[in-house]
Amino acid sequence: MGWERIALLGAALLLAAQRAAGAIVTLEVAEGLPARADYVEGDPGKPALLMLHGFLQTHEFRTIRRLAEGLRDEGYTVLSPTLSLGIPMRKQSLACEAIHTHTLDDAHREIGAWVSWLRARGHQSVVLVGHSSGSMVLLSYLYAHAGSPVIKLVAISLMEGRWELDRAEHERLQASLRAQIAAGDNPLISHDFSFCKPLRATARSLLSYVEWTPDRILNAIDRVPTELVLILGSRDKRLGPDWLRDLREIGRPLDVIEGANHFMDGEFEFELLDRVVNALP
Amino acid sequence: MRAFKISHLSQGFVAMVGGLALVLGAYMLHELEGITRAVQERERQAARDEIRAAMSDLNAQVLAMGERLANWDETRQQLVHDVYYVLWRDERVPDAGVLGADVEAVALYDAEGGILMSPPERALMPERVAGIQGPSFVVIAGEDAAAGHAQVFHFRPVYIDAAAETPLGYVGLRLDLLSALEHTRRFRFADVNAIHLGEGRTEVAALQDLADRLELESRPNPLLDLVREVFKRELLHLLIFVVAVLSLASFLLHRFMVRPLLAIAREIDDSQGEPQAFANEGPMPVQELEQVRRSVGNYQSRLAELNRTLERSSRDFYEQSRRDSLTGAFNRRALEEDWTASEAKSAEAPCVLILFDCDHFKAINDTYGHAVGDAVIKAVAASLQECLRAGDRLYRLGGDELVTYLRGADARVAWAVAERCLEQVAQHDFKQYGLPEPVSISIGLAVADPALPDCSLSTMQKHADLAMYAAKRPGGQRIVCYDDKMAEAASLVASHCINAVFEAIASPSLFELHYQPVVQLPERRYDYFEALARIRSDGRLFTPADIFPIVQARRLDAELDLAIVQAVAIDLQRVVLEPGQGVSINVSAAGIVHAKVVSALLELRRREHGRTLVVEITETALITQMETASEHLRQLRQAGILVALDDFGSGYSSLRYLASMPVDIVKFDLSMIRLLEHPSAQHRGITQGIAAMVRSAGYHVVAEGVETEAMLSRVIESGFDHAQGFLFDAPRRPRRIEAQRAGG
Repeated sequence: MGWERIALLGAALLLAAQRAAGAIVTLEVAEGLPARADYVEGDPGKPALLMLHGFLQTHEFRTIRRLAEGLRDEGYTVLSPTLSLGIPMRKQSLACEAIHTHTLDDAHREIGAWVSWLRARGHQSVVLVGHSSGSMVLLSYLYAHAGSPVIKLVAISLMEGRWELDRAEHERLQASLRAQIAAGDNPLISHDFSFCKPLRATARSLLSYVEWTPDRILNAIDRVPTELVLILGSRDKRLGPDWLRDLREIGRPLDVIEGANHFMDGEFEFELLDRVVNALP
Repeated sequence: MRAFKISHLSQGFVAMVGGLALVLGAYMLHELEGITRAVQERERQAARDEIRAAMSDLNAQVLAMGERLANWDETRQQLVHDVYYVLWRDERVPDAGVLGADVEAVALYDAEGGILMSPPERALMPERVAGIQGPSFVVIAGEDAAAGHAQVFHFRPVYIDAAAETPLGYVGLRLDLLSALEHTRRFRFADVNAIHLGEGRTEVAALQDLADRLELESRPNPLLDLVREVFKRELLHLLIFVVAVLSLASFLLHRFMVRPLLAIAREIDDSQGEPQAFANEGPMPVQELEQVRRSVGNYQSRLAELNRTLERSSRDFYEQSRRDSLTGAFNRRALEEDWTASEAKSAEAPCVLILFDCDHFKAINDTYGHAVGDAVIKAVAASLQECLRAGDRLYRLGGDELVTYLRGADARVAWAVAERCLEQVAQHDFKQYGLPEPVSISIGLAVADPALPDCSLSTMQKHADLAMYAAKRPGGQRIVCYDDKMAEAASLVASHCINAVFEAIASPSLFELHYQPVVQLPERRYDYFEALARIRSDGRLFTPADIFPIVQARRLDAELDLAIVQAVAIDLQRVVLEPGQGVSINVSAAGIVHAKVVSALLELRRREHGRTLVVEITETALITQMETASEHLRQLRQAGILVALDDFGSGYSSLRYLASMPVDIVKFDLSMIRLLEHPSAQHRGITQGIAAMVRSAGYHVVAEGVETEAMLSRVIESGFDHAQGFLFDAPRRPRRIEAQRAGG
């Protein structure tokens, strides 16, 4: 092999790497609140993908990052934003013990800003791809902001959102939060939520998330007008005991990857990629 | 050189070694202090390096913490939404683990440098920061610092992202410098708590820049202190050990060496030559010393034995020096010492000195030899000793002279002792020594009179000598006691005679030779004359009885012979004898072997060749020096001189020698001739037979002492061809000489 060929191969690998790694783009998702996203321009003929990480994570979370890399390799334009959670240019996963003031509405605004950013970049078709609570955020976003340019939602490992509370407890929590907010308080509350045990968040912030009960999520899945595909792992311990059954009962496309867990780790990342690619228009 | 005591030497050695140990200890301490200073200097340098490294580490840690804080999302969160800033600052920051435990306070500042919220007073964070472009440090020390501890403030801007030019705000944190420094590492050398930074506010780009400004103290080095303490303690122990060992060695030296040596010396001193004194002490604690003691003991025993031997030898020598080796009697020295001792002891007691003299001892000695003479004198001494009183000692003065003194005895007692001695000697059988006749002694007594001024030994001897001379006189008593008259006469005679003898020997003309004719028998014709020595001095005529004791005492025999030969020559020259008349000269044993005497005789023969010359000798001359005497006699006979054997048969002559004697004439002694008058025919026959036998052997025989006609008849009957005696004429000076002398 001549030196010329080695040089060409090296240049091609460097270009592919740059393409795979993408570029960090920033966007002021709210006044004085810049946020970061990884963005790779793909095939213009393919819809742009907006991939959203799970609760308190960043776009660097491994499931999103590997899936984004796979989709980029498939030629898709992939935008992987990191929700600011009220932190300018947030780069790190936010600890449960941190002071959480962000709300689900804040997330919807940031997603909207990034969808607009994509549209501004000429992407008329946008497919939202979410993982874990990111799927619930995107679902709630679509539920509230249905319409172009989002043409499809691929919800991976969508959880029921019950957060391991029984219905009564869930309702008492919501009532308590609403009462505090109604009283004009927005106190910091430490309460178990998702994997945070506890999560220290303002009442408004916590309430914005706990309002999305399993029933509300199932209702949203059922009602959201946008095409939706659900991909779940058969061994996802975080879904809830009847969640998969409830989802099947809705009748929306549901792709279950046998043996995969919540994060689609290991060999299932390729399975996930294949299922997502298959799910894409 | 002065001798030292072992104890002093050991003490000096102990002091010297102890001093050396002290000097060595001081030197080692000095070296230890030097090493300590060097180690401390190294430790100070190591402490400074350590602090410098720790400051560098702290700098990196603070920078890292500041960077983490500035880059922490929640920091930016607070900068844009500070509703829960206090909660975040006071709880979230400490809980998040973004900063180290050493950070005591944190504060956020807005983009204008104003603090987000005034911190609590204890936080000590400044209200405002300004002019911060990058990470910076402010160190406040001294009284301005919290609790007096130096405080490190670290500030740095917080940017939204790396590309931002305007900071979103600033973070600040504060640490207690010493506490934080102490936590960076485990300090081995530096004493962090002793670090002093001085006073005031200091801004530095890096904390390690402070290192050189710090006043440091090295951490106490417990190991070094322990080493020093151990070294000093062990050195002290060593010194104590050395002193103890030396003291013990000194004690042991004193116990096992000095004391035993002193004991040995004491034993030696106490023993006073008695080796058994060593048994008083137990065995020595040291084998070698025990060996020395035994050796000294043995040596002392040998020394004592040697002393005893020497004492015995000394006593023996003393005895020998006081004894006469031949007779066993005491000698002259013993006599003098004993006399002095007894005189000092009992000077007032009467004392008698008895002098013994063996008659004719010289003739016995000359005739039968010294062996017989020695046996005779021993027998005489033994006999005398038997007769002495108990405690009386016999002394031999020399030759045949023996003496004793009887302290506390008077003359009567002494006389009795002397008679007993005389009798004892007379009864002794001397035939056993080869002597045919008895030996007699003469005894002289001298009585010491304490009243006399001079009773000394020499005086007593002199007196006894005089008495002895008297006893020796023919026909006298054999025991004579001295009296003063004897002394006066003897002294005069003795001194006069001695002078006369010496003068005559020096001038032979002073001799007045008397001549006695020897007649031829039976005709009675004068054949020749025997020259007999007389010395006339100051009118007194000294006879051989006066002359010969002096001559013999002074060994003047040869000189006397020579003088007489010369005197004869003078007389012949003066024609004392008629021409043709022969002359006979007595020559002693000493004279016949004397060359001058022989030469004088030969010269006389040459001058008087017409006369008959006869030399009369005794057997002694031939017996003692036979060869020389025979040779001389041969020469004389060749020259025509006749040789006559004088005093033949006087009691000591022996016929066995006669044949070998070169003589021509045998002169029978008076004692032999008198036998002719003995009633016993046997006695007469002896002389007659001998005379006949000698004559038949070819010798002329001469009868001496013929004084009567009857004896002459007997002599003629016995065959003697010559005779001599008063019957024919007494020895006298020929008239012619007398006439010449009288005439002038």
